[in-house]
Amino acid sequence: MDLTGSDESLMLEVKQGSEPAFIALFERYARPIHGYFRRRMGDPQRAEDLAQETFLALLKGARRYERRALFRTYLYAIAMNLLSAERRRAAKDRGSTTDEPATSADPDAVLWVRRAVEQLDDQQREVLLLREYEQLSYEEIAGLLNVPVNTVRSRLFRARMAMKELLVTR
Amino acid sequence: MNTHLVEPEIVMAYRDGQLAAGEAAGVRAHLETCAECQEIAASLDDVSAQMRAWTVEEPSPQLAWRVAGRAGKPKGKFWWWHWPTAALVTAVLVVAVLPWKRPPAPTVQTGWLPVGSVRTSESNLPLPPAEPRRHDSVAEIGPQAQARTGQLGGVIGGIVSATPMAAPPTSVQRRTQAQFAMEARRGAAIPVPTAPMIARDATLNLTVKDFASVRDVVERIVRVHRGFAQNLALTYQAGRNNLTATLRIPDPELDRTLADLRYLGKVDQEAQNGEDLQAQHVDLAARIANSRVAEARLKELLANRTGKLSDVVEAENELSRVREDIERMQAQISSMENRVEFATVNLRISDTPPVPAPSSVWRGLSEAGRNGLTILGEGLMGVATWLLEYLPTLIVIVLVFFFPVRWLWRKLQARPAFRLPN
Ligand SMILES: [Zn+2]
Repeated sequence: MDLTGSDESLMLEVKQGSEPAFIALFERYARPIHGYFRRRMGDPQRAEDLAQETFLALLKGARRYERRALFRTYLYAIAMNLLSAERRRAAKDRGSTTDEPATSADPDAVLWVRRAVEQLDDQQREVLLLREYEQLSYEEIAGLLNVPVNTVRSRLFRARMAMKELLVTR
Repeated sequence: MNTHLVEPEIVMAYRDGQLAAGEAAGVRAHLETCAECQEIAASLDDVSAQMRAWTVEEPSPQLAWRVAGRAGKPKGKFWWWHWPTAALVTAVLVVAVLPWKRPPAPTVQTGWLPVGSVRTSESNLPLPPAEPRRHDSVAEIGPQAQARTGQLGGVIGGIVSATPMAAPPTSVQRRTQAQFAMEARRGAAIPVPTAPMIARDATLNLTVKDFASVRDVVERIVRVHRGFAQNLALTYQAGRNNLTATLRIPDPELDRTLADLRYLGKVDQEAQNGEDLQAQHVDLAARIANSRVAEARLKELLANRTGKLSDVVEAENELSRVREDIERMQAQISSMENRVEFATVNLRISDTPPVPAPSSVWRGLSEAGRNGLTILGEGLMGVATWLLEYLPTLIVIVLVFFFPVRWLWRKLQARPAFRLPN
């Protein structure tokens, strides 16, 4: 088995029950997926829980995986669903979201960036984060958010322009 | 600039590498000349650069553990692909070392030390090679020779003290054990064979006149010499009473036990055999020590978990494999030591054959029938004797071959490494 192959071919191996393929995918995406949750949630422990859930859901749904979508879109779609379920739960529990990904140990620059990101509207923020940190292509973001590529591009552009203003006014 | 041909969003898409090659070439050309677009590109780059400051910590190693734990217990698949090879090599060695065709005559001169002998064991044996002996797993832990030295002493000490002792060790035994322990501590990173480890067995066939009391007497002799009967059976075959027994006698007591047994009657057949297990024993002890070091190293590795799932899975797999290995080798080593500590006596005692007195046709017929049974009985006895004689060898060989065969079997099964949930 080629463990250096594409994500998609590895995922097809996982579908066949290959453990090494799953491990290879885990090792490629453990950090990115963890980062995905970590930048969107306040509680580091929950972020890790959800990263775990993502991989288990990936494994669980492996039988149903088809090569129709790019693997990354598929994986982040799982993560996104888990995140929105988590947010719904949190909103119900506390009446409001307290998604404050704050750690006082963060250096100033980080705090500054985070504050700026928080001020974006939800749609722009999500596109920006997916591009800057998850480094998804416009097409992948479009597939994930189920919007046209042009929409992705214009949201991203507006998000970056807004960030430019927010970061400059330091 | 309303007449601008290139939208800022396209400049951004170009910077993000999201344009098709043809389109990208056009934008690149435009960028070279357009200061306005250059400015857009620069500020986009600046935003991205500033955003890169927001890094997040690594996921904790727990993540890999939890995923590995929940994804189902993986079957060992990556590690120890080489250990069947090691097992096969060992099997070949064992087969080569074990005497397949045992000489019928006593082989006292070839190996074991008679009780009371003052010959030093060293003089009997070839000097250890100066070059380190390579055990299949010794090479792995070269830098940990120090640790292994300690381990080896511990292992051997543990084994020795754990061996059931029916009698206080005699001088010969004490010497052997002490030498082993010393050997282990002095330790030489390489286990050096110096002390003999002879597993002795004897076969004794007797004919007695008074069979009625023979069982009691045999048991008393065994007790006196602090041995035990591994099995003992009374049979009646071809008009003769037979007692067959496998006796285990503390090695130093073997000669006196045999002398006592001989007094019971007429000796029909007697044979002694000694097998030096010392090299195998040292080899096994070293391999156990190595495995212990490997075990410790793995435990340490698991304590300082890295976040890599494959590391975790592999370490877990290897750890259970190493432990399995240690248990197997310890079983081998204690059976070996048991054979050395307790010599085996295959005893067969028969009463004197009845005087044949066929006087009628009926008697003739029944005699013929009895002869037939005798032949059958002797045949069965032969098989039983053969089994008794070769059973230890067979057990060792089965032990050695069991794991490679199982490994092959599993390999052939080629089941998926983990079960996908529905
Ligand atoms: Zn321009």
